[in-house]
Amino acid sequence: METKLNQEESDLAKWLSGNLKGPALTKFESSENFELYKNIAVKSSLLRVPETNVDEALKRQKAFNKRLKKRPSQSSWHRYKYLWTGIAAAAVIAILLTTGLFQKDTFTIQADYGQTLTHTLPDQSIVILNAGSSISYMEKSFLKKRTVTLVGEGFFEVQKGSDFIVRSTSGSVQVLGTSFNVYDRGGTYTVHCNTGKVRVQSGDGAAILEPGMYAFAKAGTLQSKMAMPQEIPMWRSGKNSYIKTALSEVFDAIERQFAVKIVRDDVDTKRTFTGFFTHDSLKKALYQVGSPMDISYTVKDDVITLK
Amino acid sequence: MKGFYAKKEDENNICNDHVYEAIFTEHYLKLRNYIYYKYGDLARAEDVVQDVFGKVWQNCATIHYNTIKSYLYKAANNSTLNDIRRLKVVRSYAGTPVHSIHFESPDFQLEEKEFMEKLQQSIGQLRPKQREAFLMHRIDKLSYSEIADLLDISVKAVEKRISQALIALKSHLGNYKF
Repeated sequence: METKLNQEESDLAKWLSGNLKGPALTKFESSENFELYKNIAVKSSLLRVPETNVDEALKRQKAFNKRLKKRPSQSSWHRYKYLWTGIAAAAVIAILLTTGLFQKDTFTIQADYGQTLTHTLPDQSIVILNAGSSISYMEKSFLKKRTVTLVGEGFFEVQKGSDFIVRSTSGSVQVLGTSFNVYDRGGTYTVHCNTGKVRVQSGDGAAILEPGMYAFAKAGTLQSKMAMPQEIPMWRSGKNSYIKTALSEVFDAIERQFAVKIVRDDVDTKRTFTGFFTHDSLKKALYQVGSPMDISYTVKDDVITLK
Repeated sequence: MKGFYAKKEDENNICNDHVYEAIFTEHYLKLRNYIYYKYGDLARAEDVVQDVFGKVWQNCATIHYNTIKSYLYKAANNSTLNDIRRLKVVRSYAGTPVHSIHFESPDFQLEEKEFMEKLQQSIGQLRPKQREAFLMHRIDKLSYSEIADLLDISVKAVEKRISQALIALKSHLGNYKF
């Protein structure tokens, strides 16, 4: 950063902090703009920002923190923190050296449980991540090679340009400029095409999707068809909808959405669910999914037990 | 074996509630104001700062007590970056550029009031880096070296931002007859 100051600049800053002395001060005080500067200095120190009660803010903060994931335990890990950090650092450096990853710069962004997150990629394409999802990409070379790696679920709005590729565990999506939704969790892989054209590849299968179509892979085969309105992912507008989806998958989504733990040992989660839940309250979501399936629940701390 | 060292470690452990609370109380307002000066939106500034302190709480075991200050300001900066990028997108759709800073100015006679209003407008038009540094000094009464420390820049850089802010304010207000 260039931080060379000319005489006027360095004198001004010194004067404002009361450190301009002697002849330099006398000279400045007789200069043409002195009165105006003085007025600025005096009046600006009278400005006030809206007050906040810090104790109240701390209370709000504590309530806010309660909704976040529990902080990592600090028992034995904490005691041997420095030792472990050292070992971990050495291991990481060794891996980086051997794989030559040092020059590359992977950028990762994650939507934690209970939040969705909008991120603008270097080419101005936009990705909206659903709760408990992340993407990573090479920040420096991204404009040359538009490839992102997705874990979980995200909606993409891609700027026109070279090929844009979304890789995830079960497949890859290749597009030019369009918007689409990718869901890849627990072996279920679904890609919905919103606008433009999308090419999906999974295993040996490939499909080209037109707007309104979706492709899904289960157990290795890829199929595509027109999506019914209720099959289009709605999470961006505060709603998850399902058609004949295993209950386990639905409860996983509720866990991510509200950052809670759901114990379901006493319930058959292989049964399928058709319907939706909304994101505005956990109680409502549990009712929306639970009542048609005849499932009730008890809550203790952040743990919900299904019956 | 728990003697002096154990106690000392406790006091530097951000996971301890009283340490966390002390950090919060010390830095909350300054951090909020900093983000406010930067982008001129108080509600958003409070959201950003809440988010940052949430991160501190989540990662308390891995954040070093000695580096907490620069962690806070860096995290706040990053978080606003994401926010502002999104804002840009939203704005390009909505087509309404808004940027305003509202201060509570003391009551004065008319011409004083006029000057205050004009001064606030001019501050709103400063470049963000100049505005941040200038207001941290004028309102939060931080010294140049404190500002340099928080923003992780040199004192010279702070002085430069402050002087440029003064020069810009002077030329804005100089054309105005009071």
